[in-house]
Amino acid sequence: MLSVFLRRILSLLPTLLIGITLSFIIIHLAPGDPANRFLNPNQTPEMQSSIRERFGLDRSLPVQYGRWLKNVIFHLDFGYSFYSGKSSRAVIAVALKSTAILSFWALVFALIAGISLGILAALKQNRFIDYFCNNLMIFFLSIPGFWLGLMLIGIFSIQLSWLPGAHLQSLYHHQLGPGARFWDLAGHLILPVITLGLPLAATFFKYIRSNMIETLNSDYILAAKARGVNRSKILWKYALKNSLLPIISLLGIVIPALLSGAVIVEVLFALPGVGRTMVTAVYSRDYPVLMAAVTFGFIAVLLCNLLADICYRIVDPRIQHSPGEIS
Amino acid sequence: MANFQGPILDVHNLCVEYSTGSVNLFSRKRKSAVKNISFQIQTGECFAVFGESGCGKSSIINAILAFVPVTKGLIQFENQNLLHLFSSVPRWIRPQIQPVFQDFHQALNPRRQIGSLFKEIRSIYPDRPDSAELLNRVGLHCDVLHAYPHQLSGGQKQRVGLARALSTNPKMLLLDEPVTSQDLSIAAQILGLLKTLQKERKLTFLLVSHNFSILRLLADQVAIMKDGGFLEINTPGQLIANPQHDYTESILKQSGIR
Amino acid sequence: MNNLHTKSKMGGSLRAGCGILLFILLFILIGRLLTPYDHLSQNLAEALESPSRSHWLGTDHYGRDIFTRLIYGGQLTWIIAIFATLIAIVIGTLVGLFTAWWGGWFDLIVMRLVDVALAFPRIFIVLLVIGLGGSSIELLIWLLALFSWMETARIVRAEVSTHKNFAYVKAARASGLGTNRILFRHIFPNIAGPVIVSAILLITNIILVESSLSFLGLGVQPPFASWGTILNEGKIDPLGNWWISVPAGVCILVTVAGFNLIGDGLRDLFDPYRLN
Ligand SMILES: Nc1ncnc2c1ncn2[C@@H]1O[C@H](COP(=O)(O)OP(=O)(O)OP(=O)(O)O)[C@@H](O)[C@H]1O
Ligand SMILES: [Mg+2]
Repeated sequence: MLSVFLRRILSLLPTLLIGITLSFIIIHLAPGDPANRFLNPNQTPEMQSSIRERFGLDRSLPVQYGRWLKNVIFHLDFGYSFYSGKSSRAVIAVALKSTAILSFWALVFALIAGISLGILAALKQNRFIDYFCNNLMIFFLSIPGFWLGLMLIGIFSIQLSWLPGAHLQSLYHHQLGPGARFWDLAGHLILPVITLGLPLAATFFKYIRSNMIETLNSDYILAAKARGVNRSKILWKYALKNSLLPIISLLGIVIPALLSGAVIVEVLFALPGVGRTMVTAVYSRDYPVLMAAVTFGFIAVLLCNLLADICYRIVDPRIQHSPGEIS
Repeated sequence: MANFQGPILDVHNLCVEYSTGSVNLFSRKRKSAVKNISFQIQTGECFAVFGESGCGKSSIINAILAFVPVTKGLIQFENQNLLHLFSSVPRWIRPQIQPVFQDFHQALNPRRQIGSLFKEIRSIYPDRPDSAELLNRVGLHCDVLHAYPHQLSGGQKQRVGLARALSTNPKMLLLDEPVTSQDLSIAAQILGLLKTLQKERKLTFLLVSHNFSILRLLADQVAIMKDGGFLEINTPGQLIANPQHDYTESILKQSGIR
Repeated sequence: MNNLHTKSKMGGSLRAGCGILLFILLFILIGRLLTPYDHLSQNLAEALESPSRSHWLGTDHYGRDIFTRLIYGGQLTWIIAIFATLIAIVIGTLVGLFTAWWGGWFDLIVMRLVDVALAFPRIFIVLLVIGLGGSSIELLIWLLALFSWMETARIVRAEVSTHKNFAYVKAARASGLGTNRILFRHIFPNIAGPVIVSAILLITNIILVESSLSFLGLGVQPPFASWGTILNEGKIDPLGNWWISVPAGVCILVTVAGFNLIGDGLRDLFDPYRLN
């Protein structure tokens, strides 16, 4: 078992290497001299050459590539933010925290909503509630996240003033007691979590529903029914376990979607996360930060995949590694 | 070419391995399906391979057609080597060796009319026989040309498969369980058809089956196969009368022959 | 009984989806006959008017007619989505067909690249490129396409590797047909179903990503507009100026829902379990 995990982690390395290389290539394929991207037009040639030196742009491409690899792999160093002057690693590390909070709660929300409605719909297959849930989920899948967020903000924070529509915490957050702090954070999170979580809930719903229906109609469940095992036992012991397990592997696929969705939500609700940092960096052409964000996102997805895979193997040791899964 | 002497197919020390399970940059698990097999088939002869399910019979056929990578060995058709670089059968030899497959459900493309199959082959080999003639030969009406596979019965599909194989004017047919999925009366008809075809066109057969009573009707030579290797090769009569291996004896008993 | 129910329902969702999309298409294709306005010309005297008889859906900050802008915005959204999807599907199908067919090292390496590409959150990498290179409609189409073909490639590859072992393919190979002929004339028609389903899923995704980018001001650039750009203009006061922000959002929602309905219907239609 342990060797399987080790091999799994080892096979991650080439993927990582290719990813980092790819990001290097993208920067160098982009039009224009990379040095110019750090500058405003009224800098002197001396300043330009000092910048070239600092970022190693005066060396040959292979040397630059070697440096890039060394800095990224050993130091997670992407250079300094052109905009704020801070190390871009630090900028992203701070932002990563709020993205993690947001994504985590959105995932929890989506799992709870998607799974419970999915089970309900599967049990009442082809009844009104099933149709209703199905169509509701198509609605959630189709609604653009930013528009949903915009409408939620409009209704709940501007019109009704029930919930804050921006930021992760109030200005006076630090003066609050621990309990009040929690409620403050929770209040700020409700709308973003709903915005980010609903499409995800719909994905889980569809998956659980069809899985559940398939399991309920499978031979061994029918056999158990025929033997007279009682209904609730069939449901909880066999069917549910079998339809829930694959969710773990679905998580690996969902994570990139979650991070992508977080970009919009963070911008919309002015949350200080990776996505908003990225968009700001795009506006200000802050390219070390951009690189750091993309690479961190990439690594985060890989790690989540690895985690999902390991969990799945622990829960269900039968599965085999199949070629062509994310590794 | 017509008066070619010697064995039409010569297989020497053939080994086939499949890579299974985990395929990644570091490791490949391999499973050996055919181990060091040698045999020769004379022109006009029917050579049969008999063995249990999973012993590697189909793998031999797939190796001759270069559908699976051959790890070791030599396959010669009329003294020409079939295992070339990039492991693909030379193009001019392909029409001369034709397979008829075990699973007739998959043997025909579900999205194409039967007629288009023959049309396509004639577009590459213009001098080949007419499709209606071929279908008549295997006992089908030419209405079949406009049918889709799902509109045909199992026996009809099998015959279409046979007609397709004949449409390139082959010298040799590789028959992979040609009648196992049929009921007995149809099986008998198809076997009879194969027999007449063999006489008519001097066809050579490589027949693979796990049913000895079917083999016996056609085969001149039978190889007993177990776990990827040949135990013995002999005429069917000799095998029944005088088996050299305990396995041969037991497997023939199982089939109700002895 | 059970089966009948599902049948009628799946036909229903297919029909509903087609109906919705037809309606939207009609709207964006012949809607311009209904309005006397130009989608770009500004008229500051009429800025931010609420819906009236002369402006059915009001005007924006520059006094441009929203109804007209919705029509032209829809055209742009659809064009981008359709082209990006087509390119992505073609790339994905080709990659899937040939990796499965050739196998071996080629397959291993290409699929590893696909893994890598899938591990980048799509919008991250699109943002990176836009940040480096600026934004134009052609670039947007190519970007969306180049980072969307991977799922299709995987689906096609899986399908082809099963079909490759089917006897009909072996027979075709044995009779000497060329690789391209077998791949495109024999195998492809058999796997077209899953490809179409994945195309439909892809187009919903691409519409959403494109509108997100345009909403962020990084996609279609003013004065031109896609539905996302219009929403960007309405974000300042989403409920106060509801005639800017609501109709464009509904347009996106309804279009994507239409595609999703069709996708669901088709998936049921192609589902092998449903057939027997
Ligand atoms: N594509 C493949 N990949 C991996 N292993 C394979 C593959 N094809 C066959 N095998 C294995 O090789 C062995 C021999 O298979 P083969 O199909 O030649 O058997 P067979 O004798 O034709 O059996 P049957 O009578 O059931 O058709 C089997 O154990 C099978 O599991
Ligand atoms: Mg076989």
